Amino acid sequence: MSYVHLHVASGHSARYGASLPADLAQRAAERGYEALALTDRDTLGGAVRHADACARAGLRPVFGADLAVRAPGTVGPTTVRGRTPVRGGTFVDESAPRMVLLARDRTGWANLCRIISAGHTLRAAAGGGQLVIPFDLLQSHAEGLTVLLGPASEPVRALAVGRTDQAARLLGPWRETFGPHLRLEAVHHRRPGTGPGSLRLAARTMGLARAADLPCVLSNAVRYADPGQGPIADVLDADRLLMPVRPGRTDSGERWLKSGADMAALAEEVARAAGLEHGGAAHLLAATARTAGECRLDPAADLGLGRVHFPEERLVGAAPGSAARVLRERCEAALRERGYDRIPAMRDRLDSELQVIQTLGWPTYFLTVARVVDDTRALGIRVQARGSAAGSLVVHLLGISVAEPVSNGLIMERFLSERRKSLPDIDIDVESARRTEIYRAVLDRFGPERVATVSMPETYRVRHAVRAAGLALGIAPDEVGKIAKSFPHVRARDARRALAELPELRPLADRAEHYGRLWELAEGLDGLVRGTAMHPCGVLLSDDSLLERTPVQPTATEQLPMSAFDKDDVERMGLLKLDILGVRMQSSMAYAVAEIRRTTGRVLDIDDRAQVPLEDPEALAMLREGQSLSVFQLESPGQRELAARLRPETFQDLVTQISLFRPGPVQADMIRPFLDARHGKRRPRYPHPDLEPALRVTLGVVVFNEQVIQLFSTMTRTDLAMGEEARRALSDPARLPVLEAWYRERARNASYTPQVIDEVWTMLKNMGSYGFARAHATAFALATAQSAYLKAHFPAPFYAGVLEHDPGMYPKRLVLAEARRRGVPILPADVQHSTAHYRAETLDDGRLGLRIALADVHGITAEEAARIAAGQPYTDLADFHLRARPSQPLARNLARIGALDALAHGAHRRELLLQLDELHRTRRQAAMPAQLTLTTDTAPAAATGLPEMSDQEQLDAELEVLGMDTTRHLMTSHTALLTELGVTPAHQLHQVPTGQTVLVAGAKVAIQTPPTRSQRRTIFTSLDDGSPGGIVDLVFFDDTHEQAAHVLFHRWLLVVRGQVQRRGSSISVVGQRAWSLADLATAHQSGGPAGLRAALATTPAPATTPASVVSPETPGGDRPSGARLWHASPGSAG
Amino acid sequence: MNTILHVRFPHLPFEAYPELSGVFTDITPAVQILPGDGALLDITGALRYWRRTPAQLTDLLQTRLLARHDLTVPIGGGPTRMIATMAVTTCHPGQVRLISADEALAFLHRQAVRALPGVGPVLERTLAQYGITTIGDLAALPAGTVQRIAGAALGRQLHDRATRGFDPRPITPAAPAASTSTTRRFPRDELDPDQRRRALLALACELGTVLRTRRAVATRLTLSVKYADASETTRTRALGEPTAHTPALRDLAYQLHDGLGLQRARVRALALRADLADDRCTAHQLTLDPGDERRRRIEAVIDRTETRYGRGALAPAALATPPRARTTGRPVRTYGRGCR
Repeated sequence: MSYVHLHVASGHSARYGASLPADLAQRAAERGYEALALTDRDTLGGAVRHADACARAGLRPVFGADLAVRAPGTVGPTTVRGRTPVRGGTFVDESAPRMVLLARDRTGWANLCRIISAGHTLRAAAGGGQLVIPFDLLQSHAEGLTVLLGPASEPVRALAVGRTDQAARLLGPWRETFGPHLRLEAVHHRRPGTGPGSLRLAARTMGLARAADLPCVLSNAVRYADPGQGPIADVLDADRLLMPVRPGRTDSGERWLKSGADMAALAEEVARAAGLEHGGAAHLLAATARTAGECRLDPAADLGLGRVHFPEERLVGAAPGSAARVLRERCEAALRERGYDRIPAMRDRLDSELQVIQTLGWPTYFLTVARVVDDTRALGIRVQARGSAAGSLVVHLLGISVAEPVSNGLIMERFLSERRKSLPDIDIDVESARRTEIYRAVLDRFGPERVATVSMPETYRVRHAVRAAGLALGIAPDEVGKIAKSFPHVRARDARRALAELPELRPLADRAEHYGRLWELAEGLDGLVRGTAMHPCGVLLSDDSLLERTPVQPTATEQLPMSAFDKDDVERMGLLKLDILGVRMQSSMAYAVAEIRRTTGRVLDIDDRAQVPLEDPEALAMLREGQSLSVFQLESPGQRELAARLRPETFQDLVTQISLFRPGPVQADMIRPFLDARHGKRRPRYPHPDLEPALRVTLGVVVFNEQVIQLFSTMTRTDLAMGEEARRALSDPARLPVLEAWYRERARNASYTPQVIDEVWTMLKNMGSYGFARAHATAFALATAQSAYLKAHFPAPFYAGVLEHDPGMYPKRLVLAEARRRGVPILPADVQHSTAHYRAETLDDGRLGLRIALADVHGITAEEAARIAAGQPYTDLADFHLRARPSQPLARNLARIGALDALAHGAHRRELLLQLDELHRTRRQAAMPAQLTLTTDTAPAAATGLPEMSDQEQLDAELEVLGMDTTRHLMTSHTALLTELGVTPAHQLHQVPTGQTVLVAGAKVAIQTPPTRSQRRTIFTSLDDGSPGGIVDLVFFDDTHEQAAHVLFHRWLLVVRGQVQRRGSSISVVGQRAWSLADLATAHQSGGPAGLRAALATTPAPATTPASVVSPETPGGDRPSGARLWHASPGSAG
Repeated sequence: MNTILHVRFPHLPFEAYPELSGVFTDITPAVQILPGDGALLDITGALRYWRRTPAQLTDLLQTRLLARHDLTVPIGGGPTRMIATMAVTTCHPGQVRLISADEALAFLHRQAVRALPGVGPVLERTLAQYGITTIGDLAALPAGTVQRIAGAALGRQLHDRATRGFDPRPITPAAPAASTSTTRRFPRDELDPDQRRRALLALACELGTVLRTRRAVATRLTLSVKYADASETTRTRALGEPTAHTPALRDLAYQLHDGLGLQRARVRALALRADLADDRCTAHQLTLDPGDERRRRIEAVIDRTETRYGRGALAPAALATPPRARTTGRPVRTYGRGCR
């Protein structure tokens, strides 16, 4: 028997382990091991990856966990509350003794899961802190577990201070509980003294084991795979303990996955130090190997990897064994109800689908999802399937998806087939605001022993990594913060590449040397886990054995049970995962419908085709004009531009458009041929007449996954299921050559000419795996059509819904600007009328206006907003102050944005501020705050002499308090300057000939650096200039980044010089140079036209002074505080 | 009409002040030193004595400061302290700005409201929300409104200052308060409380020696802790009896430090300042504890040894062998004006 590392922490131990399971397994195999344990700190989250990595590396996996334990005999946490530090916060408490538990068999694994779950429940009840397992919990769950007591355990800690007697006594309860499965763990890290990791403590441990007649194992308490990774462990320690690395307390550098020979040498040293030269080392190694050998947990049989576990049939309304029959009955009933039963194609389709489902044994799966969807509908929540599942007739008949697949040309095989053994995915879109309600309904329906949410490990990306490394090195916090923030959201391992390549980081790169090892350390953290969060949409359902296979922990905010495993792990474990995606647009639409009903009394059912047609002429006309802002899936600048070029006429056009603007079609250059064919510039071309049925809908261009499947199956004369397998193989470079050979041979046999074979192969290969499932696009297009209808016919309620449930990729102020442009009356925030929510309001002339919500007022709490709304109307300011009881800053904010003007009785906003201050003082001085104050002597308005707020001051107050310009567009304050410069407004751009140089200006609303065909970095940005034309779209190619990127990323109000470019009827500007409008305005104000010229002529940032490097946010006056005013998408280093 | 000058030299060490004030008192006896800022001179009477205009006298002052101390300083002048201070704020080193009584009010009204004595950052923000940014804006308001904003007493004062430039504060000839301080900087963030206590012990020893050699006693100790984010915590406490006895200083320093309860704070520097008094005007409470007597006698020995063999020749054992030589920084000392 050879040595086995029994105590190994991987990167799944949050802020502890420095190597991921795959690296550990690979190194272990390279170093000649046959087995490897994974004992992460406080979690089992790495277990599935460990099992897979071991399987790949040919190792036998051993599973366990490294846990903190409350000493036997003690009851509660023994924290002595000291003085609260005046600065810097308290130490992170890691004082509890630790142990390692190894699962020997299935019972052991189940007990381990239960111990960790119970520990998390206790921790949540205690309000956070360290995860500590009470000893009595261990006593009741000791079966199947082996315990290792190492240097961090209580008995060995006693040894470290020389109390052998105490150590022997402390072993008592452990021996009682674990009997023959108690081990002492000797660790030798060549540290001096008698502390953990010292030779003397290892020897004493061995001595104690001998005296107490216990087996002693040797471990290396591994934290990283390779030597030299010690500093990474130090950075992780610093980030976990939230303080810089302290000299003398650094990692020993020994805790890597040492080879068997190294470990044997260490065993020899320990045995000699313990005075057991002869046979001691062999004994130590043999005990280690034997302990590993006893751990016989099999990933497949015991963890349930690779099998499926559905909820019991009775829970989905079927008697045991009758799920298939129930499914068929439900589907047939639905078929009749919808009148499909006379269509033979439908019947055949249903039969074939049911056949496949039954063969695979998954009827329960479909009934379970149907159950969840039914429960959701019963709560009155909008729900609909997305993804490939929408292509299945069964899914449609069960009421899960709305779109009918047969007439929409959707195929089932993309979703499930007999050739594909893994569970299909049914994802459902629900209203985002009510997602947790559904979770609770699922929990109630299936019980907490079968349901858990899925976790999502948060890994280090560049900003966090830089912060952690900076903390470890003791760099000043604000300096580190500035460095971290100047990076785009890229992977940590790309830190140095980003420094070298990104022009806006150039100034920082010049000083990179100054920070020493910061970059190297930050890159070393790439991909390691720094925390765990709840996955935003995954819910897993299982039979009642769930809690024996996964530990669960309550989530921090919602207290929902969360599995330790992430979505990939869950899939591998065969747990049924249902993705319940919160879609904000669904919430917005539900809100809009409720507002329509409240204001007009009209009950609108947007799923009823008679009321809301999918091909509403007005909605489509609006989209053709490019007015697709806030319309589901069509709001991005690219989609807006494409809508204007594609000019959608039918529902099918929407489906196509949603799918066209994706990385696959963009990289394969399909948009232009499609548009040419569509606008009659080119006849649709089909490589072979056989392929016309599949490609007709997109005029000869491959857009959808389904078309790839159909092309494969037609060319190779196989069924669609085989086509789907071939499509999947396309995305795997390793399988590509085999696939190509197979395809060519089959196509030749089907007697296609070589030209046709080549042409089709190029089409398929270009498409790769990037295409969009038509089923998915169809499901999306439904929401697109519905939201477009609402926008076209009920703008005020629609915008209320959009603003209420977050506007998606654009800032709220842009949505508001668009509403204003489209003629919706904007009603300012007013305490007499506004509530916590955006509302549509009927005006005197019968039109609907949009009332700004109080919820967006900076610093308001939900209680305050509710109190203000409940107390309406108010007679005067004193009455408002008395009954609504706003906090002083809130009251001032309300006064500054004019929300109190209705109570002013002639006083202007500043006079209101003064009155508020006095009211506030009176209230504070009053003995009882709620007591009625009889006299509120506010001096007559005329006497104050305070200046009124200018228009600009009012606008600034709105931007600061609400983050929106509600009364007028913010660019109006710069009209004079822009006229002087000769800036072209957006609505006049179409009169400018292509290629002419123009100046444009506006507030940045979005900035993106998406992947493009050329692989070169291109910055797309949109400016809102307040003109009737709305938005100017700008493109900056990489040759301009040197001077433009810094301004583009870090300034808000911009002036840009560029050339007009046209594609179809859409216009964009190719940027050459960018300036900050605020800087120009300042220069103009102070220096007149000459100053303006000087500002225009200066070479712009990246600034040359080192100070502004680290601080891109140099005060420029155009960074409004508080609200987020533009959208920025994750940038890319490439 | 008075003529007041404000001379600024904020970066000069305190020990230079006595020398400098010689230059000033040569010109006028009415000199008030503002520690850490500069000096105020009332030259109203001196003008007659020197038979010069304010500009000429200021010129003379500049020349003498440059000749004797190699100093180039900004000087502002005006009819009141307030105007002189505002004037000097607009000058760069070597520049002189004298505001005559006629232009004083116009000058005053152009200044930002923050420059007015009595307006702090909070009131400045409040006033800005009322649209008041310059002193002129404030002067335009009725007195009642200013009082409603700033409170009755302060409002009346501000109104007087803003509308009339009224500032009756006299120039009182005074020396700066005596104090001495020592600082220890750490080369990296110091989180170890033991290391910080060692640093405090060293600071207390040093402070004690300085006090005793100057025949002064400390009445109060001030501990300032500087952190990695450049912020600072300061705590001051009076000693039970004024003393220069190192153990007493040390114990108080420890108390101040422990009172902060620092755990994860990233400490970059510690500074200990003592407010001084003359040791002749203090008494020492005798105790029945012979240890106290012994410690005081040992202290005298230490002082003599240090005088002969240099600073640090005899030190507490805790300071003798630093476990990690790099963590203790070199002490940086600054001296205030001692007791005479």
